[in-house]
Amino acid sequence: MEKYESSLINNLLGKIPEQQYDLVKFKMKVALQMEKILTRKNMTKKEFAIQIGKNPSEITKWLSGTHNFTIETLWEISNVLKVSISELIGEEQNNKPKVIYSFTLESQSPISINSNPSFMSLKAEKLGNNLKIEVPIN
Amino acid sequence: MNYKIVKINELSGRKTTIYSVLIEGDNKTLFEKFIQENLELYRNEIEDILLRTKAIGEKFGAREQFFKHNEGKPGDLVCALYDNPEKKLRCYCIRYSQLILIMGAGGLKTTRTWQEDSRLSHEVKRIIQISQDIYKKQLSGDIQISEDGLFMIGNLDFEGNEQ
Repeated sequence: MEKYESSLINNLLGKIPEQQYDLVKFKMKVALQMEKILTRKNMTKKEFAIQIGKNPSEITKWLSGTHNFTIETLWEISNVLKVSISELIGEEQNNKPKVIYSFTLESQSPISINSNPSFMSLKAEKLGNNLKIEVPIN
Repeated sequence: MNYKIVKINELSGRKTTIYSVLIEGDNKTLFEKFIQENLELYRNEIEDILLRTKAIGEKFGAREQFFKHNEGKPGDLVCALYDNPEKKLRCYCIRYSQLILIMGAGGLKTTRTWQEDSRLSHEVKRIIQISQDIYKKQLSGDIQISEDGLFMIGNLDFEGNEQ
């Protein structure tokens, strides 16, 4: 196929701040997340519209990824769908606790550790003669 | 009307390939002409449509929910992309699949239906015609879809079609 380069689109995209693109993607992500939750809960747009007291056309608008949701609307949606707002905006994974791998080093003689037992990303705690080290795993 | 379907590299990504239509004698695609014609008066809307198209290409795919459907004739896959339903600027396109999107042109929709506006009517009828031409070429085997579904392959030049 003939290669086609658009200098117009290229120039225009180059002038738009990255944050503006991030916001567009965020709105589309929320819409996608809402659609996924509805599918998972076997709920039609019409059923959702009735439960939340809106017109189905309003739900279509929400799902189009163009809507600016208020905190109040997000709160209402999360209540009706029985999910957290974090899940609704697709950020739930950030709230999950980190997996910690922990192990204990045994010592035959007394040990001392720095008064600030945290160094780098490790957390160390003195347990008698032993040293317990927690390693966060991302 | 002689034209060819061209891939817009700047907007295409791993989720969807974005195409537009280059009419013989023009140096810009229908989508670029739409951008150019509306940029001065509706810059925010144009930027939003552009970014939404890019996000479709790179991150989300051309999911049904992002479009306004049944804008053309039944089954012709013509739909509209907009920055916000309350705003009036519409860009008509062919949502061939979640992986292939062909951007056309459009304009300001000030009437209830596009049929009531001569300018919009011209743009929508043209995109409907293009959709029908692609369908015919696909039936005849001149155009195929790549195995991964992302690309139209074959003869993307259209000649001698009446508008």
